[in-house]
Amino acid sequence: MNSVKKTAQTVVSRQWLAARGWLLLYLAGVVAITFIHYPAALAVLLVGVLAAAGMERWRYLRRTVLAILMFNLTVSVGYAIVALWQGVFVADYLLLVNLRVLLLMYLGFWFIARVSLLDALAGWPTASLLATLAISQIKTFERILSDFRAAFESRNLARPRWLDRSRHAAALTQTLLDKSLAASSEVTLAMRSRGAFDD
Amino acid sequence: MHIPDGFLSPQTYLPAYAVAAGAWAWAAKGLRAQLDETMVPRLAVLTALSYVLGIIMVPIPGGTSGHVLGVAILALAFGVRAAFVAYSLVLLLQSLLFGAGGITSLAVNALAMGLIGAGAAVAVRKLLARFGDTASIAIAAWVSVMLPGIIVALVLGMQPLIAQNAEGTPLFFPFGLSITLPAVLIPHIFIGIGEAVLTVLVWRYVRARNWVTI
Amino acid sequence: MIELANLGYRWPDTGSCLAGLTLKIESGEKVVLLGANGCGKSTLLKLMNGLIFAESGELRWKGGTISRARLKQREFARAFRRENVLLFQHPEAMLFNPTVREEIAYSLRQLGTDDTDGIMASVEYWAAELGLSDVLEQAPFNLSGGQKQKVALACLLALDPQLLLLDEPSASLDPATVGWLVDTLVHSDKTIVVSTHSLSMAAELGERCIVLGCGGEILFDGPVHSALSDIGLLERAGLAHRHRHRHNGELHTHVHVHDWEKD
Repeated sequence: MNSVKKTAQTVVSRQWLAARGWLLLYLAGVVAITFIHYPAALAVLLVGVLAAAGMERWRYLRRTVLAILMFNLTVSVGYAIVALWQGVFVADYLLLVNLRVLLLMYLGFWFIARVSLLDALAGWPTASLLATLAISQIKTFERILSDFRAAFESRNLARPRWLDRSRHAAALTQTLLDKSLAASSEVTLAMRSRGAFDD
Repeated sequence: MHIPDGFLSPQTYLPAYAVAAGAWAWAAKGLRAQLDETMVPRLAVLTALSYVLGIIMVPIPGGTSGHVLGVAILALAFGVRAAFVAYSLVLLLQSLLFGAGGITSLAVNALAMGLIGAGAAVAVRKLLARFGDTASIAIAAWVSVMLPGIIVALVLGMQPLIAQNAEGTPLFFPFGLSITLPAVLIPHIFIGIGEAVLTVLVWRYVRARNWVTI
Repeated sequence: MIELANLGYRWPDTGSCLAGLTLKIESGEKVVLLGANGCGKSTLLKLMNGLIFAESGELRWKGGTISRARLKQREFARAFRRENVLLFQHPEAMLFNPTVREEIAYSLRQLGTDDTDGIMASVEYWAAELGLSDVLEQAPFNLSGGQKQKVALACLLALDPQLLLLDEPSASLDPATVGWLVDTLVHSDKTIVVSTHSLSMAAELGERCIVLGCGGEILFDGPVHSALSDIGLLERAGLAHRHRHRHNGELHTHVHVHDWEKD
C-alpha cells in the first residue's frame, strides 16, 4: 500500500512539475515574443508553433482567428485609414501587430488545451483550492445565467423596453448575489465539516 | 474594455506587473486581517460572482447593450480589497483557463478596473453620501466605469510614444491619445449609465437584505 | 398541436444527446414526461418552447416549422410566445419586476393593448385564482419558493396560452402546494406537458406518459398506468433501483420503485 501511495505521489508530483514547467515556459514565451519586432521572425515562430501543435492545430487556429478578428480588424482598418491620410502608412506595421497578436493568442489556446491550470497550481495549495472552488462556482452561476436568459426570452412576446432589460439584469444580479452569499456560507461550513480548517 | 495581448509594450506591462504585485500583496494582507481561514472559500465565490457579472449585458442608451463591469457592486458590497483580488483572479482564470488571452495586459486591467474602479466607487459614494443613496451610488458606479476607461485610453494612447522603431512607426497599439481618448470614453459614457442604473437597482436590494455595506 | 419529427440535439458541454425524437401532442392532451435526472427532459421542453434549436429533424407548431429564423419574425414570435409557454424549474429565473402586480401584467402589456383596466382586471383575477391577492404589491424576490412558482404560473396563465410546458414543477414545493398544483393542472383545459421524476405526480396528472431513457431516447409513449406498471421499463429509465439485502445469510436483490405503489 505504501509503495502504491508513493507511486501516486510521484506521479502527481511529476504532473505538477510538468504543468508548472509548461506554465513558466508559456509565460516566458509570451514576454519574449513582445520583444520581437520583425514580422518575418514572428511568421517563422508561428509556423513552428503550428507544426508543433499537432493534429488540433487548425482547430486552435480557427478559434484564434475568431477571437481576434473584431478587435484586430478594427485596429488594422483604423490604422490604414489614419496612416494613409497622414501619409505615414507602413504595411510592415500591420504584419507585425497582427502576427504578434495571432501568435500570442494561439499560444494561449494551445497552452490551455495542453496544460491544466489546476495541475500547474498543485504545488500551491491555497491557489489550487481557490481556483478549484472558483471554477466550480462559476459553472453553477453560468447555469443560473443561462436559465435567466432563456426565461427572459420565453416571457417576452415583443421587444422588451430598456427599463425591462435593466430590471431583468438587476434581478439576475440580485439572484447571483444571493446565491454567492449562500454558497460562501455553505462551502465554508462544508470545508470546516471536512476538517479543511484544522491544522 | 479589456486590452488584448500584443498591443501593450513590455515597457508598459512589466512595470505594471511590479506595481500590481505590490497592490495584490497589500490587498491580500488586508483580507487576511479582515477574514479568518474562511477567506479562501469566500474569495473563491466572489471570484465566480465577478466572472459571471462580467458576462451580464446591461442595456445602454441607444438601443444596444454593453457588458457590466460589476466592480462598483462588488466594491460597495464587499470592500475594495476583496473586489480587487476577485477581479484579478477572474482575469487570471480568463487568460489561463478560458483562453480569453490578456496575460500581458492583466496587470493594467486589474489595476485600472479592479483597483482604481473599485476605489473610485467607494470614494465617490462616501463623498456624495449626503446627496442620498440613489445619486451617490449612481454617480459612484458611473465613475467606476469612466475612470478605468480613462486609464485604459491613456495607456493605449501612449504606446506609440513609448514604443516605436527608428523611423517612428509604432510597434504596438498605433493610435495616439487624440484617438484613444474619445474612442474609449464616448462609449463608456453610455455603458456607465447602464452600469449606474443596474448598480442602483441592485443596491436597493442589498439594503433591503441588510447586508454589510459601505 | 406540436410535433417533433426525428429531432436530434447535442449538448455542447458533454457531447451527450437527444436522438431521433418523434412524437405528436394533440390539443387538450395532458402528457407527463418522465425520466431520471439528466436524461434531457428540460432540454426537450426548451426545444418545444423554441428557446434552443435542434441540430436535425423538425419541430412543428400547428403545422408550421419552428426555426430560429421564423422566431425572428415579430408577429409570429408574439403569437408563438403567447400560445406556447414554459414554467421554468427555478421560477425565480422568470421573475424580474418590482411587484407581483407588475410581474403578472408584464406579458399582457406586451400584447400591445391599450386596455390598462382590462390588464389590471386580468392580473387581479389570476392573483385571486392562485391565492396571490395579498402579495400583489410585494416584490417577487421576497416570496417563498411556492409563492414564486404561483406568481410565475399566474404570469403564464394570464396570457391564456394553448400549450403549457412545466419543468419539474414539484421539485421545490411542499406536499400541500404540490397537491394544489396537481389539482390546478388536472382541471385545466390547456394542453399540458409536465416533466417530472415523481411517479406519484405522474399517476395523478397525466393520461399519457413519455419516458425518456438515460441516452436521450424515447423508451415508452403510451398510457401512464401502463408505464408505471412496467418495472423493467422504470428500471431501464433510471426511475427504479435494485435493493440488496440478505435473507438468512443469502444475498437477495429486487427492483424497488420509490413513491409509487402498483394497485
